[in-house]
Amino acid sequence: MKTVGFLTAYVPEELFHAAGLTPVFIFHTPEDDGHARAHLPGFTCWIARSALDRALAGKLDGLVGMALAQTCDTMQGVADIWRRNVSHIPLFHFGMPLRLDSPSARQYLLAELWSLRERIQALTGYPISDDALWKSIAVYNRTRALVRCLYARAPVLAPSDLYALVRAAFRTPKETYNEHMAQLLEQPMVLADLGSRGKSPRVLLAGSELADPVLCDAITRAGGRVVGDILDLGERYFAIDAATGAQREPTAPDQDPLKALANRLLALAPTPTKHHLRSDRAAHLLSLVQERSADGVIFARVKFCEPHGFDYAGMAHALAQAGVPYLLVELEQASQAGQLRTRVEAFIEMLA
Amino acid sequence: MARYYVQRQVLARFRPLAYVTSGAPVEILEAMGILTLYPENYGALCGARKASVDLCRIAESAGYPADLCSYARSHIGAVMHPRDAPLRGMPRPDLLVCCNNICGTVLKWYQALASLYDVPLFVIDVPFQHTTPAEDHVVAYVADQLHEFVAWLETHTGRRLKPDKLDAVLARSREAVALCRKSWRLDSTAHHRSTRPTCSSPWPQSSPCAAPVEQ
Repeated sequence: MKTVGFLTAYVPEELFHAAGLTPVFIFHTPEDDGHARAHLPGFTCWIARSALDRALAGKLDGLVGMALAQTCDTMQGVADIWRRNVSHIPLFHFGMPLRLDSPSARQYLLAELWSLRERIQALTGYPISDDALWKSIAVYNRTRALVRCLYARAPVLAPSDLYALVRAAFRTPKETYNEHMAQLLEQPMVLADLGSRGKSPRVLLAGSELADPVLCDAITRAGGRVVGDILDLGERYFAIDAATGAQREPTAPDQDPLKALANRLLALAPTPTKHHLRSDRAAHLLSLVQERSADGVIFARVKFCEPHGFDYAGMAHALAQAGVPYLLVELEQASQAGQLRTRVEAFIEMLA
Repeated sequence: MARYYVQRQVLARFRPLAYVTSGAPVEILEAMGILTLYPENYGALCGARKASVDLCRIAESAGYPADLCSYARSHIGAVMHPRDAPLRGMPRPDLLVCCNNICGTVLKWYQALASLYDVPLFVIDVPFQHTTPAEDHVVAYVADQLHEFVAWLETHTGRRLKPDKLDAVLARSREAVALCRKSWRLDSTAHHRSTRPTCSSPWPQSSPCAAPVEQ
């Protein structure tokens, strides 16, 4: 199996899959081998530094490539640093446009998808046919549908289990994931009894990447439930299938599959690194609070992440105005597990 | 600097005022008679006047994390509490123009300003070039956005862009760049003798806007 690593929430995984490669998200780990320090200052986010550090330590040598989409300044810099210092793992940079709301952005995106396909073909030595791409889109649409079913069960799942299963979607060959998740979802799921007294507070999560395992564990131990999220790699990532851009519509075989990929990327709820004239993340969060009857919101911000940092202020203000309790936890490389647990448990107890 | 900002404040009573990022295609606004001011410049002024620490604290109290760009935090603090800011803050804008060729932070800064001021924001996406020259589809993307930008300005200000006025402004810009490069070469330190200027040359050598390099 040939594996391609990726970072950011805008890499068109299906293109790599159609080339016979297996895309795997490179989640950060707590270990710091000290290699990234020579290339990135300490005030860059650990998501980026961890991936670079692991690559420089030789821990990612099994990858045949690494893909990054244009999102933030840090990832933009990592692309060049990687090319210069990890040259044995080819870097695929994908120019996802900043603006999601203009026809010119769509044209540019289509050209970037075409360019990426050419570069992947140059790596593998084989063409990526439209037929192969449609088949990969179908596989990924199936994954997305299964994860949506999983999120529908979120209120009866321990948060640590929910996110372990979502995270697995990024680390497992999709065919394998689809098979096992379909079987799992056929099993009855009952509310996990975690010994909590009375009501289980319902929280939404906001932030980058996927919820930190320590955070999920803290919410679980305190008896909380995660009823949804606006995480970059959370619900929004799986909400829309590649086809016509509309949710849960079947693949249209007479369309250009690159257009199907472009439509999906543009239709996704923007992450903080993107701009859409009609997007209001604070309003979206508030409506989700109402829709899911959430008792509160936990912002899990990776320290030094500017896009999420700026958005936090506006969203916190909106929640405060609406009287919705919220908590900000900042995640770093050196996990402050004890402090995190104490704060999260106190917050969940307050909501109960 | 104070005189400059006061002058802008007075002129803003008669002409539309846009906040722009440092790399924005300001010539278009100049040609349309739209005033421009730079929050980045104001952030530097706050630092020079030793007001940044207090202004940043104001932004941080409003929820902006302390590890965010301090230019942005200073300016946002000044917007929130203009009485505590140098020159009692910048004049209120009618429009916001954000171009990301300087950095990605400006998108978030200007989104925050759009919310604080409730004024229209136009974002120009200039994709970072990891290799040069820029590919045709990238140039086309930026050019298309500039056309959209002109239409947006005309809609929001009622002013029209006249090609001859734009040509005249572009000529002055090219002259300014050429004079800037000439002034760098006047510096007699060894560092500047041995290296080409690396700071803020807004146009690459191949650009039609770039002044001819004096050898």
